[in-house]
Amino acid sequence: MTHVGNVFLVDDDEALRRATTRQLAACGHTVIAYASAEEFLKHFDPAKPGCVLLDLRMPGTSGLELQRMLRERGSCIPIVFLTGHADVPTTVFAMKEGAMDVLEKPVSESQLLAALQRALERDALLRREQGDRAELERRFASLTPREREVFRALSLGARNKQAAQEMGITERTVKLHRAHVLSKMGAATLADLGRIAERLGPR
Amino acid sequence: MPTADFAEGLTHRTGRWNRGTGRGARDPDHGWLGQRTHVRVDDPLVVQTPIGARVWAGTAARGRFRRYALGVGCLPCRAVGLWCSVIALTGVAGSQEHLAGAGFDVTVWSIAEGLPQGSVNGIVQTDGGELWLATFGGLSSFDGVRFRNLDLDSSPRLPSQRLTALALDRAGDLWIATQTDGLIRLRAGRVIDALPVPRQTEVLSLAIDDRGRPWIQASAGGIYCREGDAWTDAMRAASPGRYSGLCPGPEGTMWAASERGLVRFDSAGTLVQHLETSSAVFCLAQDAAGRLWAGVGKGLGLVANGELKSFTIDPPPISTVSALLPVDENHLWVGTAAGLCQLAREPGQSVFRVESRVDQLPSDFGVRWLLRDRESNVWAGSQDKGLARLRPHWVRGFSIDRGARPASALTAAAEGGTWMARDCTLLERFDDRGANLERLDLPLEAGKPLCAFALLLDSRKRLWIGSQGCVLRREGTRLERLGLDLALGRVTDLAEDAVGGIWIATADGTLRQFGPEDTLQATFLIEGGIDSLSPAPDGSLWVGGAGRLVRLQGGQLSSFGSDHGIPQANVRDILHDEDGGLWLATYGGGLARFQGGTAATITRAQGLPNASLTRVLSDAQGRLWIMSNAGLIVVPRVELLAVLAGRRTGVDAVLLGPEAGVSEANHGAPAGFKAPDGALVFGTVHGGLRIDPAEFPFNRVRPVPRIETVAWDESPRPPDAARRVPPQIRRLRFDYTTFALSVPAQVRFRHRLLGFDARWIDIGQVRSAEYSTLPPGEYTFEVEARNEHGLWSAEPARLAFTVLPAWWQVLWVQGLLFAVLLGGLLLLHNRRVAAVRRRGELLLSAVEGRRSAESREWQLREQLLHIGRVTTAGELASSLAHEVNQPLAAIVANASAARRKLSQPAPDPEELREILGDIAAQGERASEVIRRLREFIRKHETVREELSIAQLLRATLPLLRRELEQHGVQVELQLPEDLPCVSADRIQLQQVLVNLIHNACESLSGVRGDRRLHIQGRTSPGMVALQVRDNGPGLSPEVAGRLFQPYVTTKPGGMGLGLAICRTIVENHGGRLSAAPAPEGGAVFTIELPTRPNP
Repeated sequence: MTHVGNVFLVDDDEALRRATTRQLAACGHTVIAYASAEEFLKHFDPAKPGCVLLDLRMPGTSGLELQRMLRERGSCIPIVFLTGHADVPTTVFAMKEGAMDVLEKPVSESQLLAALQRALERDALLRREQGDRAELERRFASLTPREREVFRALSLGARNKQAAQEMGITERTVKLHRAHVLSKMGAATLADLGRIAERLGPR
Repeated sequence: MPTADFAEGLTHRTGRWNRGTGRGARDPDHGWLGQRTHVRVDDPLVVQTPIGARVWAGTAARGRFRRYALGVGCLPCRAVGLWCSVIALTGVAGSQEHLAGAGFDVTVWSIAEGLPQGSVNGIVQTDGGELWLATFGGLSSFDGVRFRNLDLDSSPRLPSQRLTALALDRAGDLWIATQTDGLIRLRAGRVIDALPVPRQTEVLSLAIDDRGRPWIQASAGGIYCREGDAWTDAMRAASPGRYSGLCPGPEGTMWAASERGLVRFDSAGTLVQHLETSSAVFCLAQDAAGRLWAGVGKGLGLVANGELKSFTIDPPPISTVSALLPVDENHLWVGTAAGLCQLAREPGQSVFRVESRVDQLPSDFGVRWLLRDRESNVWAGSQDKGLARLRPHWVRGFSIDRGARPASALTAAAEGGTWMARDCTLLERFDDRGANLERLDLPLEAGKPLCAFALLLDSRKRLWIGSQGCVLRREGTRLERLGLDLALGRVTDLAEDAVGGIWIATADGTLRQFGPEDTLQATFLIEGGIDSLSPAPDGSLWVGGAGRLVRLQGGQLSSFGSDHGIPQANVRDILHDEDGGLWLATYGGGLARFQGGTAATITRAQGLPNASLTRVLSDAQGRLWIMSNAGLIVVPRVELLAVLAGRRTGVDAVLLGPEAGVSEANHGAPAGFKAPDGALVFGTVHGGLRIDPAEFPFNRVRPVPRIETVAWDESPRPPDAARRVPPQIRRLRFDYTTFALSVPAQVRFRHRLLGFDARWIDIGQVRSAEYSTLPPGEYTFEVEARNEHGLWSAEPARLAFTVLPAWWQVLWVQGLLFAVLLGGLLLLHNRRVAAVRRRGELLLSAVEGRRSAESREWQLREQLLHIGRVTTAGELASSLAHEVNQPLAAIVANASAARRKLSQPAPDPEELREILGDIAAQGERASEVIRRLREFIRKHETVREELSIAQLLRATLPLLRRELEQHGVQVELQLPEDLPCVSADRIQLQQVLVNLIHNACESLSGVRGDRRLHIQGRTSPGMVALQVRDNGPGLSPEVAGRLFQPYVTTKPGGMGLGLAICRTIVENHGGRLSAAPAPEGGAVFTIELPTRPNP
């Protein structure tokens, strides 16, 4: 047992739900079981770490639909699919949509646990990354508009002179803004600033 | 030969004449000329016939050509006077010339009537009555109607047709002498013997002695007797001259007539006696007592006690006696070369006086042979003029005139005899023998003599004469016209009542009673006129009129008409019957009997010969004598009563017509009365008749019928040769006759064919009967004859014969044919059976083949269904896998959990038990799904069972649960509780349901929003329907049309077999599977299945 966490179990089969809950609980996971996608969504908290163990076919909202709905909400919570009959197209579709794994029932314990571990690790990773970026976003938000322009120009590798020309300001002013940007963004060098810009994505 | 010096413009007629009974008046010089013909001939045209024997007279009278023949007597008769016969002919009838003379009807037949030749050399009558004639033209048998001739051409064939003599032997065989070719012996129409005669001999006479030996008299003067096988010449003694006749004597002796007397031969042929005569003897005859008579010259001779007694004839004939017919000792017929006379003598006298002469014979009749038949007709054979029959008159007529001088009224005369109103204008009195005693001319009125229409002799012997508008009375010799100024009409009848009152009836209907004191006592008027009066013994008076009968009693009239059965005709006479009834003679309506207020009629339909009656009288013998237009009808009263009572269908009446001397009635005037002596007197158009009913010579000789020939194939055969009639004869004709010779034209026959006819067939006068196409079998033809006076033959003539069957009608041939037919049928049957069997085997093998094909097809179908199910299962694989994997996953999870719990330091046993319980439950769950699936896809034989569709549907839905869930399909079930059961295979029906629901799911997969599957059960009579309706996209038209065809699919990768299989399944269950667009969009599939009653 290396990594345990919250497992959100969504399965319409009550017996399976109970058995799976029992099994995962015995492995140390914290299992929160839901009988349907709707019930899950009702109680879903993106801030809660964990992964979703999802039955692919369910009456009402199916597993794939739930996955889509979660992604639309911006949640990156890892999802492990369980299916009675894993046909290839469905599996591929699920994986493309960002599923961590598609497991065919009945699934062996080791496989299940491994998949859950990967999902939980992934969740932890994502959550860390998500925390860094939020800091960067906050720092970027503190930049003045002129500083943001300088940030964009410098993150694209422009020289001070080029940036000044593009913005129609003096090189000196650019240098001044550059200093503010580096300071505000917590970057020591222009290379650091480039990485930050990359992480923030195009702005 | 007389000449006709006023002959002009009339041609001789060779046709036949109706018979007549007239007699002319005598005229010494020109009697034969018929100057007094008693015919009102204004312009007589008379011509002598070429024969010279008859003179024909004709005149146009009453707008119609009438012809009269004047019989001419032979010359010797002229010496004693001649009654010239005038025969009135009112038409041409189909009988031979019929002449009448005083006391006799004479009929003559010549070659024109079928006599083979005019010389009748011999006449004999057999016991059966058959008349045989020998002529120079052959032998002839005569029944009075036709001559049946035997000659050279006939069968049996005669060796010669020149016959000279005939004789009958005691055995009844007929001996025939030919002139030169010997003797022939005929028995029953067949030649049984033929004897040659001595050479150079012509046979002139023939006689059979009482030993049966033939004797012949030859031309050369010899007499021969047949003794054994040879002729014995009987002329061994000296010949007394030429012989001219033979007559057998007793004990084999033979008399012969010769030129010089009578000669007797003994039985050995020796001349033993010779009675010499002054004149030559030409004829011999034996009378009934066996006495031998001879014609001696112009006189007669009788052999008695070995002596010859001679008689003279007064007046003597002009030629020698050539034929003799003794009737008894004092009466005989004599024939001469010129004619025939009837002679009589007073007993003991030696003179025969001429009683009557037959002057109706042709002149020069030359009597050669005489015969009296058993009916007392006299037959005379002539030398060359043929054959004549003389029949005594049965009815004594008086004042019989030719022409229309009717006796309009008759009554008895006080002086004796009969008063007769003649010709209306004069009264004549006749005695009972018909002699005219007195003549009384009626007075003139307005220049014309009064006319007498009715006569009455009253109880005071006064003669009442009813005339036109007046009544005359004669008392003694005084004739007075009664002073009855009464404007009388024509008096039609007079009657005297019980108290001496005279009733006078007139044509205008006035009825007056004239009292004894010549006072008018009463007058009545009878509507329609009066025809007859008849006082009844009870004092009432019966009056006959036109269709009416009136009774007058005590001054009261009671009338009877057609309502009471009175015929619609004039009642001309009323006769009181002994039983109180009335006989009504009506003119046209027949005879009616009136009794108890109603009348019943006997007319022609009941056998009455004529329906126009004028007078009816009864006799003491219980017969009614009825004067009619056709003659006098005689009918027994009991017969009439029997017909009226329904016991008989008709009367067997005797009609006395012209052949009996009865002329037609007197124009309908009811003339006639019953004389005090019982004689009946009637008036006719020609005068009066007097009949003594007790003595009336009804013909009492029963006719003997005889079947002469039986003919088929147009060839007649004698009856003996007709015992076996060949098969398939189309027409079988029997010719029969009878020898009732008096009035052959009135002889009637009836016949029947036993085995064919149920009863007698009365065929009238026809002498033949024909039958066509008789089936094979035994028959007896019988025929009976009735003579003219109603006497039937004692027994019928019979001929039993067999109609032979044709070869195919013969029993054994028929049996053989039947057997062959049967064999053929059997053969056919066997062949047919074999054919059928072969065919059956073929069919069986075909059926077998079909069955195996069907079995293969069945297997294929089962396989197909299986494949369909497997395919469906495959299509459902993911959901089914899910369905199985779900419990498996739960098991795995539970097991895993349990294992982990066990590895914990203090596992909670309760928790573990719970887990294990879950594991077990989920294992069962998985196995249940597997079981269902396996059941669904299992190969199985079709098994029908009672199924509730609702239950089946509920059992099927789990298989599809996942599928439905996966597609998010909401299932709505609408199944009535009382949905009937169906008889079906569970799996196959489930397959259909799975298919339909699966299809619906797939079709719904593209639908956004609600996906509904509506399953509804419905009942219709005899059927249960299950509708599966979705709200999917529905059916495109191009798909809808061929939805159930195989290999039609809308699914990528689908085989297109599902619905085709489904339809096959449903149809195999006797149901229907149909698809249609649902009303609210989508498709609806309907399964209809025949129901079974709800268990």
